[in-house]
Amino acid sequence: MINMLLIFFILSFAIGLSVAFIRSKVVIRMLVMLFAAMHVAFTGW
Amino acid sequence: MLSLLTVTTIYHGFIYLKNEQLKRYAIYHVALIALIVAMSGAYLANSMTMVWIFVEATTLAVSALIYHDRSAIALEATWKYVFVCSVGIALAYIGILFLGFTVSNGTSPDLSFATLPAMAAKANPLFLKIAFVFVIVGYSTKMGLFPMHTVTVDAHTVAPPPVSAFISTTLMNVGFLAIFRIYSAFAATTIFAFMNHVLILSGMLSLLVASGYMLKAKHNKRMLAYSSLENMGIVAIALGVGGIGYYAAILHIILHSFTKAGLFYQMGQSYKIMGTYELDNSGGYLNLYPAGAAVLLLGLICITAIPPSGMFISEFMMFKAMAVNGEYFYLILTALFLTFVAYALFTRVLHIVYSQPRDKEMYLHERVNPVQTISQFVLFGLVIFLCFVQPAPFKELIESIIGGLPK
Repeated sequence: MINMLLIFFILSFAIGLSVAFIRSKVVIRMLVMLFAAMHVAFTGW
Repeated sequence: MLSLLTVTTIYHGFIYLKNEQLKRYAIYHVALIALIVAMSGAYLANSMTMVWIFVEATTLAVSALIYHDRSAIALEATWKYVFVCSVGIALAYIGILFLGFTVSNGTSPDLSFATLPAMAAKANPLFLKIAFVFVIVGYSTKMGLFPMHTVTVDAHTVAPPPVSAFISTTLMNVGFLAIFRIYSAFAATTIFAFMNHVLILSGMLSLLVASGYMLKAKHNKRMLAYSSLENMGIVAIALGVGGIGYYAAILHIILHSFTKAGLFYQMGQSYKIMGTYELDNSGGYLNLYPAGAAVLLLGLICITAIPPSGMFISEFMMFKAMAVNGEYFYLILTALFLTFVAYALFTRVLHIVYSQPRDKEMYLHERVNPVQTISQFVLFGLVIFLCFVQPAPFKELIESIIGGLPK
């Protein structure tokens, strides 16, 4: 459980950081959708 | 619930920010991701201190989201949010310190929720009472409960509609969770009756303030923000009343999240069409956008707990718990306040849907694709579904949440 939580936090941090620096709305949108899918998968798990 | 509302909030955020400049677009999404992660952490944390850290993190993320519009009123609301939440969180921290001193006996305290009930049972009741009062006042900034409710009302009014939908549901639930976990941990101690009195008092005062301000609300989103205060008041009262009130409190907070999120999403769409949140300038929405008007009317039925809204079940259970316990004074007072709230909501929503606006020239008449409204119908559909059918796993989930509380 702790490991999964840690992975989720690290991946979220990586996505958040990418969103902050990427200069394309389309890519930002894709990253945010990836984050949402990851959140649903994590919660489902 | 957090995951479901994350998906709908992100979807409505994409629509709301369609023409936004890149820098603000990025800041909005970074802050939203930070908020979701912090809330997930607060939901899953197993100790008082970790909950506190994650709740504090939500303050920073929400501040960036409230300031999204970069207007003077957004700046004022942001500063107010940061200041009041910081004070509230500091009070909650003092409560945790009290708790630590009380249960530690001079050693390093273990404030995990697994060990807290056993340690609290041996602690000094006076210190436990002080700790509980500090915690409830502190986390009321997040739950939007009296006495620190003002900050959430301002934040919900000013924030972009998808953010308002998110923070008036899932973030309020985080505040409730923090209070509920302490309440559960102290439930077996001698201060149980005291906690119930504090919750009922706080809930009643929330209802009083909400009903009073809703009767004079002239801002559509502010009206919904006060409605959130009212619903959190109901949750606090149901929890304080006990018995089947526990079940009612959890059910109500779930259903309120779906209903309020749907209504706030619709407020964002109505702004696109009418160009205003001012009640006096709103009107004729049925002609402008029939699907949106249907959402508002359906949302009105759901939020005022009129059957087939599932919130009817939770409020009915709360009233039944009051009647069973012989608390008729609270019952009458709650019913009276809810009547004012229903009157305020009905007059205002019907005005938006059917009346003629004062200033039609303000209308933006931007087109909204009805497909974008489907998510709101789905959320209200869930609320109505749960009025008729509560699946066994859903019931078991709520029963497991309240399982540790005295019958």
